[in-house]
Amino acid sequence: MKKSLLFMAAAMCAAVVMPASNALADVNIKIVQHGPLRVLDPIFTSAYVTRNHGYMIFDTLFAMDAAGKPQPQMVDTFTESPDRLTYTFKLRSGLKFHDGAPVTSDDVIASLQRWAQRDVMGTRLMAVTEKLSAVDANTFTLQLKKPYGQVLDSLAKPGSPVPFIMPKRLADTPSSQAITEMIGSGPFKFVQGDFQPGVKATYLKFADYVPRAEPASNFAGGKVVKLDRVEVVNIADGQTAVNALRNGEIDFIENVAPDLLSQFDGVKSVTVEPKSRESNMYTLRMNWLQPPFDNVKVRRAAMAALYQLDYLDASVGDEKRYTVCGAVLSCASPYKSETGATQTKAPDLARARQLLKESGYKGEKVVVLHSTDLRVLVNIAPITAQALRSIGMNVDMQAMDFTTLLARRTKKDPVEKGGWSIFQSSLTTLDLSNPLVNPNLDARGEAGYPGWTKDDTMESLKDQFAVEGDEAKRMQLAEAIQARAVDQVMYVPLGEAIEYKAYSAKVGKLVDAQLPMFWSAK
Amino acid sequence: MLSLIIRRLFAAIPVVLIVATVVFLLLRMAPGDPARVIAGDMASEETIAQIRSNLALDQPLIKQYALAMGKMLQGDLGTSIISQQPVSKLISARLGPTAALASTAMLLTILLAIPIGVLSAWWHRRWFDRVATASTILAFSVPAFVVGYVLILVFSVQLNWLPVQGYTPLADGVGPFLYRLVLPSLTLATVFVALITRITRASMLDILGEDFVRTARAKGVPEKYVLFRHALRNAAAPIVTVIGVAITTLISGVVVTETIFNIPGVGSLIVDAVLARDYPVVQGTILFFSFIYVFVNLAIDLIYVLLDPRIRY
Repeated sequence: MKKSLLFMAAAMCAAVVMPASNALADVNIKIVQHGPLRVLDPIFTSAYVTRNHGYMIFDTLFAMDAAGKPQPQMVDTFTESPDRLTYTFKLRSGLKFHDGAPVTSDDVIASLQRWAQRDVMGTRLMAVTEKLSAVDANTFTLQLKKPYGQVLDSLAKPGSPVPFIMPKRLADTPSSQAITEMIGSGPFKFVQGDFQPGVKATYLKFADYVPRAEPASNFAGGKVVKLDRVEVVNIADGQTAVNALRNGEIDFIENVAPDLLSQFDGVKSVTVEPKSRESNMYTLRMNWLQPPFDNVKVRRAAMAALYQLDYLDASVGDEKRYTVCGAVLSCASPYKSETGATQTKAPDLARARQLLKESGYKGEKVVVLHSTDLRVLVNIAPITAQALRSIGMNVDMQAMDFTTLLARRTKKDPVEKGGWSIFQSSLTTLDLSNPLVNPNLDARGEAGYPGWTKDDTMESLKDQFAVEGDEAKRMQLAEAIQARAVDQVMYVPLGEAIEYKAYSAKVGKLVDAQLPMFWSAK
Repeated sequence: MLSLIIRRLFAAIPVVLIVATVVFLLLRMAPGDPARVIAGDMASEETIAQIRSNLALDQPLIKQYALAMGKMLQGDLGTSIISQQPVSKLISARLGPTAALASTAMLLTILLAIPIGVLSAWWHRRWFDRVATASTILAFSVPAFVVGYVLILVFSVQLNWLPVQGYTPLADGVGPFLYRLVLPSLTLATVFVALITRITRASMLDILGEDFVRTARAKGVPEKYVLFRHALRNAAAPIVTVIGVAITTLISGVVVTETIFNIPGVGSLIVDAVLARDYPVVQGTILFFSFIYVFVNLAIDLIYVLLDPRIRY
């Protein structure tokens, strides 16, 4: 009797505790991105995780292929007038938004205008635009004031913010206000009711999406969706994400920390691959407004003391997982050039000290901002501090969380009044590979990116690059931009970390793309 | 009893107002700008200024305070600066996982800690007591993240018996709900079992030497009644106090455990909100915690009265 009661109790417990086998049957794949999704509007914020979300539900007029060339995406055909002043675009027929409304020229124009308010390339494009007008529901024209060599590259811009197309009623929202209703014309629909900021987001296959006929190539080509549902879950702890993938609870990790990669060794059910043609560059930016880095000779001395391998070994560790690269446009750029870079070679401290002596440096304090809450940046500032101390600079490394750093770096005051001398960052090469987009090449002075680099020559080179239509001449200009950036020490590239994704066999073969794309996954 | 409850609830109003004011001021004193967090690394100053204006972050501090307090007095905790969702909705979404984890961990703790503590006192300085004491010292000393990772390694990665992470709501079934709570509850219970066992043992040792216990035994009262009816009831005050503190700790979020097991609870909500300088979420969450503290303290005081008729407020 007692035994049978015990058996019944055990059976009941098992029935209660064991999960129902079909509880997750309708979830095709669960993915983990590099961070939590909290803001949905990919124009309102340039957060990378929001950009990834944007690619799921929105589409673009043009898209970059694997060769880095813009290819039509929502556009069917287009013409360029002989004088290079008028572009006429015809949309593919049958394009629909997720609410069933057709995509029209008015939607496109409103979307481009909103995007241009927030994007450097968009702003430049609109500055040379005479008129953007609808010819009919499917055709629109872009009339320029003068020839511009970056029209298609702008419309195919892959980095944040991306020129995504949304319904006019949403695109009419001021760009300083976030859109929360997510209606696009992309391959996946967003499940609004499932969204929990920072926790979970769900996407369903958009049945009315018509993919292009060409094979998928990076951001371009046919987005053929084979999944019914993609669920994005946030897992803050990298170790937990790795365990969950090994255990089959999730199917994809966008970015595995370098020190956890070895945990997949010998795990046959998981594929580990480097991200294609894209990496994250560590960057060092000096404050040109305040001593000592308002003096170019001090900047050159500091750069001579830096050595990329020190940074890469401290932050990444495994030489197979980083790239030593001195190109200000990154080694992923079609315009890559490493002319003049010294930080890729062993540092010449004697020369650095000599340069510092010649500069007239008088021991002014160098405040290095140290972000301590982001894994990717935590080991960077101490290397900088030590390198500069080794040539006799008076370094004060100040620790803070990244949110504080973002606010602190806007202060233009002297270091004694809360200012700063150096901050370091980690930026995707998608946002660096074009000189018009790269924030570190912003040479407009106080109106520009923190660090407030001012150099009319650099701005002139960028203007020439923007209007130049000939690829060979653009390469020459990119070379000149590299040389000028190194000479003036606009910023110091500190090396590129190759990011690795990991995914289960359930995901199938992913598109070889610079970002996680799920339209070929099975 | 009713008048006590009413008096305590009225007394909570100034407490909550002071908490709200202090939190408001602390947040505004902290460096960092939510507009920059939203706009991202490469946004222009003009963009950030527009966002600040839209979020009323460019208003004078006193006006921001008046707005926040006015909303709060109407029962509106405001809207998240980052996600644009109502704070009350964000908290309620995270409350389920936190409450589930807290209640299972607490239930496990009470079921284990009180009997072990009582028996340790009863078998004072015998092998059971020594083993229990050594175990509780060890359990209290090992950080929760170590316990969590070891449990995951053994039961999830190697044996594949239990899931690594995640939370399933009770609405999806009792089985899946409990299945995902086993390891995080065990992780949390480890430290609380250790704490409450020690308190129970110490409290019981004090009581077991009292005259009324000796009298009960002399009258021939069975030992189990002596221990669990006479002694434990009189030893309960400090135990109840610690259980109350443990409950507030659990409800206000156990960030490390939530992070390791990827449980979307209140703890991770407030940490994320602080890092992003999401003022309304931090403010609303802390306000919510202050209410919890008030109610738990009130509940503890009421339990004191029930346990010991000599106590009067």
